[in-house]
Amino acid sequence: MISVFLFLVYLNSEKQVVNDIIIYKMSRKDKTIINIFKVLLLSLLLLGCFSCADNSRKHQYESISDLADKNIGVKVGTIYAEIISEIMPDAKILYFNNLTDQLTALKAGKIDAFPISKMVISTYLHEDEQLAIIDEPFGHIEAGYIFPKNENGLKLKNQMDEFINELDKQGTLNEIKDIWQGNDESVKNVLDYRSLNGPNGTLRFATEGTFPPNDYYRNGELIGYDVDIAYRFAQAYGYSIEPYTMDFDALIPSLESGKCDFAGSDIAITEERAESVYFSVPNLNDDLIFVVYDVDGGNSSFVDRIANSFRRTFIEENRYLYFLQGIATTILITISAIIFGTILGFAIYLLYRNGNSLIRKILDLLVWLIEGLPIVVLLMILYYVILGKTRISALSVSIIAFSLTFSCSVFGNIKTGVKAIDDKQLEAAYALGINDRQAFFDIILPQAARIFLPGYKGNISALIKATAVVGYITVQDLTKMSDIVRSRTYEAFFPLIAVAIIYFALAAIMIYIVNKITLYTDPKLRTKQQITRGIKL
Amino acid sequence: MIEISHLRKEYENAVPLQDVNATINDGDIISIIGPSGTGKSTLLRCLNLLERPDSGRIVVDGVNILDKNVDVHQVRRKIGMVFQSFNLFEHMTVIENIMYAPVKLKLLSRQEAYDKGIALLETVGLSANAFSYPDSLSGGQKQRVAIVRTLINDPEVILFDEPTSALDPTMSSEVMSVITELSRTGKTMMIVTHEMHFARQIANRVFYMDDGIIYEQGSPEEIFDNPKKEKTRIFIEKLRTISFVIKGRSFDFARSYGEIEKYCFKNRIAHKYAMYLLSISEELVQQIMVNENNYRDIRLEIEYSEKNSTIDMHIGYKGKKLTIDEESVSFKILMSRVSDIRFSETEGEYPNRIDIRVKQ
Repeated sequence: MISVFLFLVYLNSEKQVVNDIIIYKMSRKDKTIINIFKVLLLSLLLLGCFSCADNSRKHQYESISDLADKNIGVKVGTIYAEIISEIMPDAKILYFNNLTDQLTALKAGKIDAFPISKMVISTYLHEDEQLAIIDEPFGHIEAGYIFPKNENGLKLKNQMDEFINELDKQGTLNEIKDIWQGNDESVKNVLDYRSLNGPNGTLRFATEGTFPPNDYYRNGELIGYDVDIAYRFAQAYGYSIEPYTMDFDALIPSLESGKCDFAGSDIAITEERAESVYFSVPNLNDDLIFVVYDVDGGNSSFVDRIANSFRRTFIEENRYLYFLQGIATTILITISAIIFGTILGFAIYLLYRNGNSLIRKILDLLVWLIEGLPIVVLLMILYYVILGKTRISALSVSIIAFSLTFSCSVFGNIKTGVKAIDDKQLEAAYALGINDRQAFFDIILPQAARIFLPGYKGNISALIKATAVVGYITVQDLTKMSDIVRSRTYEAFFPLIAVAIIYFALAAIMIYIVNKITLYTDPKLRTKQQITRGIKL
Repeated sequence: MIEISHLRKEYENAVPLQDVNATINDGDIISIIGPSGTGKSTLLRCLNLLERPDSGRIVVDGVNILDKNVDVHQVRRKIGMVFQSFNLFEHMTVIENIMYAPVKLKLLSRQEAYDKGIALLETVGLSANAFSYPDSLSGGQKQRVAIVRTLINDPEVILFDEPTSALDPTMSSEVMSVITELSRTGKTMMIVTHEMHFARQIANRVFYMDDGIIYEQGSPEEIFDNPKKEKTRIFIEKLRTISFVIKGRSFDFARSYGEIEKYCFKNRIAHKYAMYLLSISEELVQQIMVNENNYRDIRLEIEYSEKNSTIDMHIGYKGKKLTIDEESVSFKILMSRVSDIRFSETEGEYPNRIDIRVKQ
């Protein structure tokens, strides 16, 4: 109720701003006040959503049979779905990208349970009073490291097999496992991979990074059971390590495209996967159980919960640093894409303008192709296929991809803007002896700018939001960083809302800057002094 | 001096310039008149190379400006152009519009351009508007600014492409007086216009263009008072004609009468005269048919001059010459509607002629 009310107030304030823009005489101070008011309302609105998202389920699931026809959330790329549809054919399966989303869905009541290996959930349970398990194993998984199907991959696989078997024989494997499964964070440490200066070359190790205790971030450092063993392996066999984190379903493509040399992230050994990659012998044997919502948990007050969420999301383990780093990455990608995209879009337009019909058709086709592709697909194609064999960083690839899409929209903007300006002015300039290039830049462009800048602004705010998908190719932007934080705090909503507010703020700042530029470039807002610069009247 | 020879310009579905030949002397002021779509504007646009002719030569001071290695921009600087729709640069103030080209082309410094621009604006009475934007000016003011913008380049020739067509009469006259003033300075000018009075009064030579050629040219008196060619005369007198040939007794009279009525309506000829025309033609055609046992073709032409507001009818027919009983009732009716009637014989397909002027 409150949310709805706040939303209406927000809309109204928006409307008032629109009116004021039309009047145009609003003072800067008024504008600032209205903007602050808008941000406040927005924050309240989001917090309202936060409180509403709290569900109040009454029934506690006690056994697997309780879940027979319920919604089960399964992580994409895992083998759980097959097992579940075998033992519980009536259950409805929903797919999620990572554990954090599964937790969020569970707390929001979108799913009733999700399957997980016992080791993984053991660390969550004592931290989150809203979770419970059905302690009734419904399956069993063996997980191992994966390697690309080539000569090198086979060599590494054999070395890894040897290493794991040795650890197992000595009993070290179980010791390591106990440490990571336990509740004592202080003993959970991995060796510093930067200290490895392996004579046998560098291994690029891919993992998800949001899946404690297997692979996760603590204080900005990638740690976890799979990470631990991978690093020990590298040390034992004389390799250096470069860790990469990415979405779970990107792990196998990253091996196949040669982006990484091996991967580990609680990857269950299945026949199907074994067709495309080599598996090491299992380093993990584990039971599968279901996690459900604990209706008795979480009795603290609303304010306490918010304060607690805030502390865990930002303060603990200096997690605000993740957000700062994420913001920096997001801004870097956005600003680079704006700069390169604008230049490129402009270049494409000039090529289009001076080109013959064939060049125009080709350009139209290219723009159509790039604009038609979902940005995620474009990112993946660039990263894994077109630039798959190069060692160009994922960050550069995302800058390239977003520059490309942004250039297409800039091209479209300019095209529409120029079309709106009467060609006859161009003719008048020609008739005065001015050449085409000068006439375009002096006569057409300043006028077209007034028309295309609003669209350009829209594209910028769309761009900032679109960058949220770069996590797909291992870039740790704001969204990915919030995933990393969520995977540690088990907070379902707070990081999301924080991220939403940050995106709003970023977009607002960018638009503010562009507005300034717009005012600066508007020829009709010049003073007489500016016009007659250097002239004695 | 500009010599134009065998100039031809084709579009996909029109040939605005068939074969244009002309010599323009320094100091000539030439009005170009003619019906719409006969290539007047295209000719001007070819002269300063906004359009490239398909063939022919344009020799300006001994140089064929259509040669590949001629600097187009240099040519355009010498030949200024004023457009029907003014085409001012909307994002620039009046003075910037004027200063833009000479400063950009480094012909004048900013200060020189400003001083010269203000001085020229004074001559057209617009110095107070130097810092206005075009969208706050009236059409007539915009056109005067456009003229100044062209003048500041000191062109040798100025082309005016229907400079007053987009203006209402008061604004037209302010622009025409500026152009007239300009014509006294001895600059070569070519003006495409539909204002016949203006065309006549300003020019020392007049081109009548039709069918993509300069159909007739001469002094204003020759073209406006004694046009030699039929089409020129029709255009100058603003003649509107309709004609048809009556073949055989089975001719569809009702339909042709309908057409005459429609023609009168279209040209805003009073209904009374339409009725006169119908009864005159009916009477005479009947007389001719009765007179002639062996039926022959009759050609009927009606000509309405907007300029003189006269309606003439010309009837030509083959066979025996018509003799009319001047005492008959039908002749008396005829005469009450006619201010002048002449019977004559000529050479040609229709040797017998009757020329009638309808009574006003």
